[in-house]
Amino acid sequence: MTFRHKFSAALSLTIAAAIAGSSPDVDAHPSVAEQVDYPFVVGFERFYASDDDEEYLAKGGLLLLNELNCVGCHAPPESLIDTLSGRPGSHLHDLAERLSPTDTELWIRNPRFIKNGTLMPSLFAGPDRDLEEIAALKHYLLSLKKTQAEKPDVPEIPHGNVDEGQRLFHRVGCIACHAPANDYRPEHIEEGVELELVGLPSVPLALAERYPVDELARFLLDPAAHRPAGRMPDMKLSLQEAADLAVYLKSGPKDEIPEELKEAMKSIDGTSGADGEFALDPALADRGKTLFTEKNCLSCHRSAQPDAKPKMAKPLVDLRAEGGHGCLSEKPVANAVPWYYLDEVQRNAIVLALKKLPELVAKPHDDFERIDFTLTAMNCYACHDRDGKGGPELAREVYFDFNATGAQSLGRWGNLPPPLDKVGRKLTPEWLQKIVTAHGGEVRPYVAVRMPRFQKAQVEMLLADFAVADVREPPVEIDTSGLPKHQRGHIGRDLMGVSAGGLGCVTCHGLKDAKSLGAPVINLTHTIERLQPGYFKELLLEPQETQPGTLMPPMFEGRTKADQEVEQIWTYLKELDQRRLPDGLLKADNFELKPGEEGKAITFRTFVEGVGSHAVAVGYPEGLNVGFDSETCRWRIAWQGRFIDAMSTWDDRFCTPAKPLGGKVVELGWKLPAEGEVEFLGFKLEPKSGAPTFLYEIGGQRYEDRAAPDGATKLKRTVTDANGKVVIEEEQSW
Amino acid sequence: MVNLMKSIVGQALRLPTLDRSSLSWRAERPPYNRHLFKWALFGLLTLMAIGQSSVRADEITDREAEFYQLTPFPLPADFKLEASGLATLPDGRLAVAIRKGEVWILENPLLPKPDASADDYVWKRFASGLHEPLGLTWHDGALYTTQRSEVTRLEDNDNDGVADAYLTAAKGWGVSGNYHEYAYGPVFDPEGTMWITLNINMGKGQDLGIEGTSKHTRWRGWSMNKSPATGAKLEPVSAGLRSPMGLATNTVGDVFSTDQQGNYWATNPLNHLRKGVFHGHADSLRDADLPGSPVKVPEDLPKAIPVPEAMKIIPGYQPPAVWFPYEKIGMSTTGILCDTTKGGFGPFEDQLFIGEFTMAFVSRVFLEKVNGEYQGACFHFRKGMQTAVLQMQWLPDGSMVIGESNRGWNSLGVRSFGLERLIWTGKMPFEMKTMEAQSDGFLLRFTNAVDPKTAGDPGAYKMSSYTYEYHQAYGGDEIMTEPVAIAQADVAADGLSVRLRCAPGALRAGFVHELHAEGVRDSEGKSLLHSEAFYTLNAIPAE
Repeated sequence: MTFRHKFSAALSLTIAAAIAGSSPDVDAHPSVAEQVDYPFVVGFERFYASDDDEEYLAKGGLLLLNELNCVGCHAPPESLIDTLSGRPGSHLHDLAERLSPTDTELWIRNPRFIKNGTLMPSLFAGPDRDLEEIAALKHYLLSLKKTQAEKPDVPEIPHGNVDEGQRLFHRVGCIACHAPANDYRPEHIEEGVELELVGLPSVPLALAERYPVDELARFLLDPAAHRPAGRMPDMKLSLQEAADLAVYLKSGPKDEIPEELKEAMKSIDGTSGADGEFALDPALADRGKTLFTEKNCLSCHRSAQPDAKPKMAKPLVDLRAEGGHGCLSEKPVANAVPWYYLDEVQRNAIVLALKKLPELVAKPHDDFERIDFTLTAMNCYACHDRDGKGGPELAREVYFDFNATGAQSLGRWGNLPPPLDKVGRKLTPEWLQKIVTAHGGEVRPYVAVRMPRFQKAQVEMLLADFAVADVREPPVEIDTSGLPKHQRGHIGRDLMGVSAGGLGCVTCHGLKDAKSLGAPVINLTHTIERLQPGYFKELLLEPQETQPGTLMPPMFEGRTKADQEVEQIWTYLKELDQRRLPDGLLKADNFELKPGEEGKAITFRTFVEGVGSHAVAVGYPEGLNVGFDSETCRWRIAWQGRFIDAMSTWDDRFCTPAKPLGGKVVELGWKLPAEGEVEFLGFKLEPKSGAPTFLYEIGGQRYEDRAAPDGATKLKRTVTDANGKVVIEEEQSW
Repeated sequence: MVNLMKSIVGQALRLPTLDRSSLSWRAERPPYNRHLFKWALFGLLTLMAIGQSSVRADEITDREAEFYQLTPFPLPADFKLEASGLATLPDGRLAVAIRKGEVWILENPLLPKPDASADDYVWKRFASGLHEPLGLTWHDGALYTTQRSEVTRLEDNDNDGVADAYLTAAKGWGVSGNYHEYAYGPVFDPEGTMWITLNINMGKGQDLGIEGTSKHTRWRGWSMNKSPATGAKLEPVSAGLRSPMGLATNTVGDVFSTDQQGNYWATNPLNHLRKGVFHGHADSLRDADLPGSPVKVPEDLPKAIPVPEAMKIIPGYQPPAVWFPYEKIGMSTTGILCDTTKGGFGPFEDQLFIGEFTMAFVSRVFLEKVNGEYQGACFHFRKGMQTAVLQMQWLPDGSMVIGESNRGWNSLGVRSFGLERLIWTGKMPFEMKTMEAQSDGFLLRFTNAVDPKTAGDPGAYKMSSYTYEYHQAYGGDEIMTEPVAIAQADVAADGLSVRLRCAPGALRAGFVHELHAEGVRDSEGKSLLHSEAFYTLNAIPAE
């Protein structure tokens, strides 16, 4: 009954939005992207489908047994306990703070009406539905409020900004799992480039509209506080970011409950239709509390009654491996059998998994299979690939933005999260733990997308499995003792620098506060805490074999002392805090151009602020300077005092515009001597003074234009035509 | 409507298998472990190449040194010679453009003293204040260089050895201030037409605080030229370039440029520049509608298809004359220099030498025309430069001078800039001089007579072929790799060439054919100095 209502409500809103034409576009909002009518398990959606062979689809079934928390009632065999650890349901202890009475009732009646694609089964879809039970559960759930003592210091949520929220949604990584909005263009995508629609499944964004905006922001700040399963990870948002994101998420179309539905819901306790009318009935709530145990809601929502024990049904291995009955029935059945809305592929997959169970009991998962299972369940594959599987699809890759000038030149290493191959021997266990489950540990600030924080309980096994699966045999031998006889930190420093004999590591790698000289790649300050020494050596000696596709060149190829040199670099990095930075990062040079010292004018082309990309800056020994734009042949600015710093032109890859160093910058309003098409012809230098005379044509007529000091405070401009006749004379004084 | 489309797409994609065995899924995003396979293969081939011994790269360099001697020019302390342009003046002096924006003249590049010190060389600054010149040429009595926003002719009218006129020889392309907007050249062809190449920008421009100019970064990713005959302005010639650093003519005056592996370029290419063609990088196509564009916009560029397929279906697309397989023969191709020394530099007359940035070496290219289009092979030539190679030029004695700088990106080697000289010792290296396509195989010409027994044994050769994907993604793997069986190897009577005949149908048009000739010996029993050749077989010649 309910779906048609929802659909028509959405449709009419779509039309309304099209007329209103608000910004961002409601119609383009990511929450309208997908409508699914089965429990949505993202790993299953991406990797399993109806035409898979049975052997493979059974793996998908296993994933569903875990993600639908079948194992909450049907205990898994001992041998698979590490794989099928289950997926705890949401905490309900403060449900009343987040959900209205109407939404609470609707959720109990038909979870997927409230949350498109939810994994929560309906316990009241069967023919023996008892509306009184629904009311009782509703009153019980709405009685669950945190006591004042239980409430930590709830952060005050600031006012959010929709546009900023939209930008965050598309930049920090939400779109790895959720659909991007149709009206958003990533900043680095040029005009005219067509964006493709994403093809791989997107997790529906269904609940945002149901939460009060501040509660939604609090949820985004710490999703695990509500949803301990941690499938929605902590995106490391600031308070302001959570507020911005929350208002954006709520800016989608609003699904109003149709009036006739409200009317229909009034019957039981007489309060449902209007939330304001709700009054908690303690007796009903008590009955609900008992029902909560009886209906076995506890199997998923243990935290609601921490002392109670859920009833277990038949163990998984004892279940009949065929569809058509119990939870796998094609229609809802009676006797409080949960109804999951499974579609046919899902049902088949579960049956195949049950069939395969005896085999799996005999030969349980090894660490490789378990890694794949967890990466699928936690959707790590949305961002990362491992063993050739996973990673964002091309249509989503465009939303993975670059966070630094020049990162685009790194290709996939500049915007995409790294592959997870060999990660178990790459990162130290402490760093791996930190980057996955805590704050800090990120080393790629130029990648805009964030590494989210996951729940320790959900990934502990994964991290342990990585360590076992990625062991290298035989191990790389590296002596990190730092014994002075062969590993001298200062030699490592020389190797990293750009002076003669150096390998120039600092060309790409920064250290401490110093940026690299060129491309921005990982800053090496924390290498010792971050990388395992064996991997460090493996990577340096054989970059492509170790990290396929890496931009790290084979620096040590053909070097007879490569082993020792790698160890020396390691030693230097270990002693970094006591040693000087390598040559190249120490900025000793002074690049200021000083016409006074030269005794003649300096003519210098670069990008100059206020003059443009075709700028010619001229500095005179008298301490007056002027900027000529050779694209338009216009004098743009003049200034007094120091001339210009050539650092960004001479020593930097990214050509940051030079700025006038002196003060008293004036914009010159000097006009061209004629109207017409202007063509720049260059300049000639007066041999003695070095002063340039600019040459150009306007409409075929040739002019010479010059601006030079007349005394210490006056700049005099003279324009002559092809006959040597002065056609303009003017000046700028300070 | 869009939502509807989205949900349809979502539904449709839910049905096919999106698992690791699905080809369609793989095609979307190549798994990285294919690189691993490539490297495993490369490792294997390398082992084969060196006959199971543990010859290291420096020993190969030592062998090369027997034939081509490499000598760095000693430089004064604090002289940051990031050499980005080289021109030999008619009087034998060498002009060097450096990246910080100056042109220096080396008065005595041929200084014969074997152990000359920096003080023995005389350097004079000729020009300054240029904006990152990347190229230098002597033409019509003056030096020409390309700066970020124009081509400039540098004149010294009072003959005091310092330029006093910086005259604009060509301009008209867009400069937004983005760091990646490098401009290269110029090069003059035999008709006196001036050629330049322009990088695409990498991301946005910079806010330079003025309104109304440089908003449109026109002609980025294009080659352009200006003909003296028509008196016209600089005109767009071909589109589809990414970072076309190398620019040069061959002996007959056709113009070529190298490019950089990256988006649209699975690996580094050598492209033949000529009017109206599209080389592959699609960013440049946004300007194909502008007045003056000779390139037609191909409708609906395919998303990810093999290059041989792209050659068939993309109108105007001209595949590279040569692909340089990634890592195997470079990671970043730069300057081009055609051997016009008439034997002064050894046996490779008319061939092209190609600079390599990341791996700091010089490779070699043989080109031939098949069906009217250039294609050919690349070979290793000389490794072990002190840092990234940017440009090469001939000195009057037929030695090669090499300009170097690795600012902004890393490279092998022990320095970050410099100038070196490469001199042929006069000894003849045993090399595959050419690899020429035949209807059923290849004709190999050698520099020395081969030993008929080894060279006539098909087992002395191993060949495989592969191609690349034409796609927007950054870089790309070798795909569709197959072995190419060699049925027969016929040695010519003079021993200077070998005709390889492959199994019928084994040659594939549009594929790189990688040859390893480890087993071949010369008449003295020596193995090849470099036994690999990579032939880009865009077309198979008719019989």
